[in-house]
Amino acid sequence: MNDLRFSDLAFPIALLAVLTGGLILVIDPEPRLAHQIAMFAPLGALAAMEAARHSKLALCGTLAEWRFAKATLAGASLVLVVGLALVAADVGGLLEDPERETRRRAMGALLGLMIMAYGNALPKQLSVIKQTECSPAATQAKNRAVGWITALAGLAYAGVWLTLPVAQADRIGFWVWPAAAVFLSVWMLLRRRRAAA
Amino acid sequence: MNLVFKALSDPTRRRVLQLLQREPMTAGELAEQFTVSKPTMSAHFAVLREAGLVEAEKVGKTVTYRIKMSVLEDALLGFASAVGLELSDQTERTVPPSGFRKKET
Repeated sequence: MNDLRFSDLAFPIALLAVLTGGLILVIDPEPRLAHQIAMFAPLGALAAMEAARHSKLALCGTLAEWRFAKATLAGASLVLVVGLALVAADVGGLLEDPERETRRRAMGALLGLMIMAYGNALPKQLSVIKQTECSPAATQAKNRAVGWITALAGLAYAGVWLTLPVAQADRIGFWVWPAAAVFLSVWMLLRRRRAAA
Repeated sequence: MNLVFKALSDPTRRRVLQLLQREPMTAGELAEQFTVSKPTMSAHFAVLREAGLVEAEKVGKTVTYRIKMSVLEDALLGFASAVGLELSDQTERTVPPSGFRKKET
């Protein structure tokens, strides 16, 4: 287990996306597929890009922090359990939530906070990758940016769901992930251009 | 978290972290940036390693240090640097209370 490759990070991220997306589909009887895809696609794409790049280069050694993957899985499970508990409470009559507002708000905030925690830990965990063959400074800067943007996007998403009316949170929350992905892409592009100059 | 605050409370250690944020550096390269002695620098590195803020990799006789900070620790470093937080060990600067006399030998 200590020889977990960096590309294996794609697995917990993908599982998190699938679990959370599936949970939202369960909770929301009128799911908007495009919404779900737009919400999780940037995260999945980022993971896939990273995994592909590192697999292709076949470098950067191993990731010894198996605990990180386990924590991600535990977080995804927590989202699932809380979601199911909210559904059960509603079905059992313990929760008066005819418009499903409380459920959606709680799930949005939980998802945001979980992604924030994930982003917070990301640079620390990725630093254990051996950087003998790639550019250490560039990799380090990229890991830092990915961590910051993920954490801030998670915080923004949780904040939106905790503070705004549900209809507005739904609309604004929709744009948090694509905005974060665009911001990160632009940052990487500018950095690459600056390094090349 | 106490170890992190202790590590961030010293301006030299903060400067080391800021240098490492740019790129990984060897112990020698880092020591060149400061006027303090090598044993003092080693002590600073030890505090940073103990707090889990840096990671050391030894190749031959060269020790390369690399930053290992979470987003929160990164933000704390920025905050501490901005406000000039300095909570150096009391033991280093403790002034003997008035009336205290050293034993004469």
